Amino acid sequence: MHTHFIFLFLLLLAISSFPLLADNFRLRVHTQTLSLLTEEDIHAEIHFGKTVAARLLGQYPPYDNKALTRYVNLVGQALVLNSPRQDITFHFSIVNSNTINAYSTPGGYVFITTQAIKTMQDESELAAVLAHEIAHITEKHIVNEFKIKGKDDSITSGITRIVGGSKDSATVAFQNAVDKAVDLLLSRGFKHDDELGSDQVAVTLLAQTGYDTMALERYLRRVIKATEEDDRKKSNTHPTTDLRLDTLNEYQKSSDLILHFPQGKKRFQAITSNNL
Amino acid sequence: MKNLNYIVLLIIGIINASVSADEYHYKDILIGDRAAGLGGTYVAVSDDPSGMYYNPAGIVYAASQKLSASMNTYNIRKTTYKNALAGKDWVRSSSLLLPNFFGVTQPLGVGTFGISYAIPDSAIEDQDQTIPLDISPNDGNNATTDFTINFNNQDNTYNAGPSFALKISKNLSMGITLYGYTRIQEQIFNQVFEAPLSHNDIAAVEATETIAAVDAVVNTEDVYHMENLYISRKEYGIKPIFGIMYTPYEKISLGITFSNTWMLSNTIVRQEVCASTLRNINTTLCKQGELNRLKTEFEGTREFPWELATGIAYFPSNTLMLTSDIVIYKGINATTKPMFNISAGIEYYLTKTFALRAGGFTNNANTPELIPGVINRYPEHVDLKGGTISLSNFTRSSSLSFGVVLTKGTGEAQVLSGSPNLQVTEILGITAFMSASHSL
Repeated sequence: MHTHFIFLFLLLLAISSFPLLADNFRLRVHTQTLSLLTEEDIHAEIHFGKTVAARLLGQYPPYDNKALTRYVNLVGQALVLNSPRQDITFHFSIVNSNTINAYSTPGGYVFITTQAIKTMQDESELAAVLAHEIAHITEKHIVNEFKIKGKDDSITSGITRIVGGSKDSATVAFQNAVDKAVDLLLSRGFKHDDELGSDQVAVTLLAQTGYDTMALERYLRRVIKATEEDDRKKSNTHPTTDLRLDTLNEYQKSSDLILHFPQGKKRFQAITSNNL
Repeated sequence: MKNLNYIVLLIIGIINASVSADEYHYKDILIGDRAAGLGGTYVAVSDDPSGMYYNPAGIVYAASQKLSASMNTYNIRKTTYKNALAGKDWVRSSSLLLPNFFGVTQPLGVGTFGISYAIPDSAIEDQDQTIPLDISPNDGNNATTDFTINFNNQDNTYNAGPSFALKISKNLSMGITLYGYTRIQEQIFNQVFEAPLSHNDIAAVEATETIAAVDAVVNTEDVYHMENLYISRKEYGIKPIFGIMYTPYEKISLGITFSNTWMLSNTIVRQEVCASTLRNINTTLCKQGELNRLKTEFEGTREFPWELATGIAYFPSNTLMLTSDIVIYKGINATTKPMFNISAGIEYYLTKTFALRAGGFTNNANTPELIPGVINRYPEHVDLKGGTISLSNFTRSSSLSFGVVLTKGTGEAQVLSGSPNLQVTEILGITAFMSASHSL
């Protein structure tokens, strides 16, 4: 009996050491329909994002300053003009918090904390942070993670629900996904790859909009100084800043995205000094 | 009196009606929407929840976390024993609407977890048949009687349990399904024979016909024979399925599974009643002029054969797939013989949202061929062949499949108690299925 197990183990070991082959040949052509974006999907994304945003505002009260909010929105909308998501309307808000952070939810809802703005020194840094959050939305990090999609109202899907005796999966999972998305934004954080990818998209957006592409790096370095090392180690919402900086540098160098465009220092300081 | 001997044989009991949903075949109900469309050829594919039944190693390759349900399977099965009853056919038919599979898979840690239930064998037979029999003497006088069979049989086998699969490397995965096995059967079988013969009729017959033949009949005015049989069977056990999926070359998938059912308990309660006025009847249960009851209870287990299934699938493009399986069943001494089934299937996408599937399979009998002239231990041997066709429509989050499975075969059976006569037996099965899958 033992001999059989040893033989089986050796066989599996031998098989598993063979050259690795792609296994995506199993995917059938119908799976291509999974990536198609419908109007229902956009509505579902906006509805989901709005619900998560409401939960966030329950945690962090909005910072009630019209001038500063308008300014942040103007900077944000300038970036949005160059984003690939022209199918949704972006909303930028400031929340009152002593934490240096920014959040975004699907559907175009972006939040930045008062402490984050206080840590910035110019408009390009504000743009860099907003661009990073915009990237989370345009790259659909939360949408993909929680598989947010519109209701499938096709005849086939209707019959399928009857035959299968089930409700639409998006409806069933909605509340559960909202809870998880709030947890992701406030505690768990995005996947590291998503964060690093958002940095790269942000730098591209800065360049397209005409902001200094080194703004994100400058801001991140300042955050390192402003944040106690222990706090940074405890933070789960972002990969280590060192890793982000290294990856960002490498990307900017390889993509020729070291562009010293305007920083908008005076305008930024004029508005923030009067409104923060 | 040309048919009396035969009738006497007949009314002593059509014994083997107690055969299960189908104990003599292993592939009676095809499980899963895609798999059913492929003639149950799924060992090397298995990349959706029904893979938990065919090869649990395949569920790691599911395109998405998926929930699948075959909710509406309508199955009709007709078994015809040719010339079984005094020159007339005896037909057993079963029809049932069956939710035969439900399964859901979910990535969990390093592997994929799933849970499913499957009903691989089921029958609901409800028969109320009165067969007119000609027992006319050869003197020209007409004499007929009725033979009435009331038969109700509900026999279902359930498998339910968890699965777990692990991707060992990009081209190798392993998985296990641990099914709980349950079989519940309840059967009621009544047979009534009543001949409208009087003493005078008998005397008239005796004057003209063979004494020996008439002697088998009665000396009372009302001639009857009635048997009632009730069987209750409850079997519980476990059925582990071990599976391996391997990709030796691009676009080629190999699958192998090894499974068996271990019965943990088996309770059979059998109650029989017999009342008869037949003159020379003398069996354990039936004696002339007596009303006898017999109740027996059995507790124990029985053995199931090991099943070794291997399959190969070829994916030349993302619109075409070809697959073939062979399943070998080890025989069990004096119970079932070693045998195998083969199957093949093809899947072709007509468009991005419509897929056509077709398959062919064998469902061979696990009984030996019947020997003429002797009483065979197993009274039926019919090898079946089947074909399937189905059409699936996909949306982004779901798929809906319609299909038909046709099974047919001709063999032999011994349906009359104590008679070595063989009857040509035809089995025809038609299953229409409508199934749904949801992506989560």
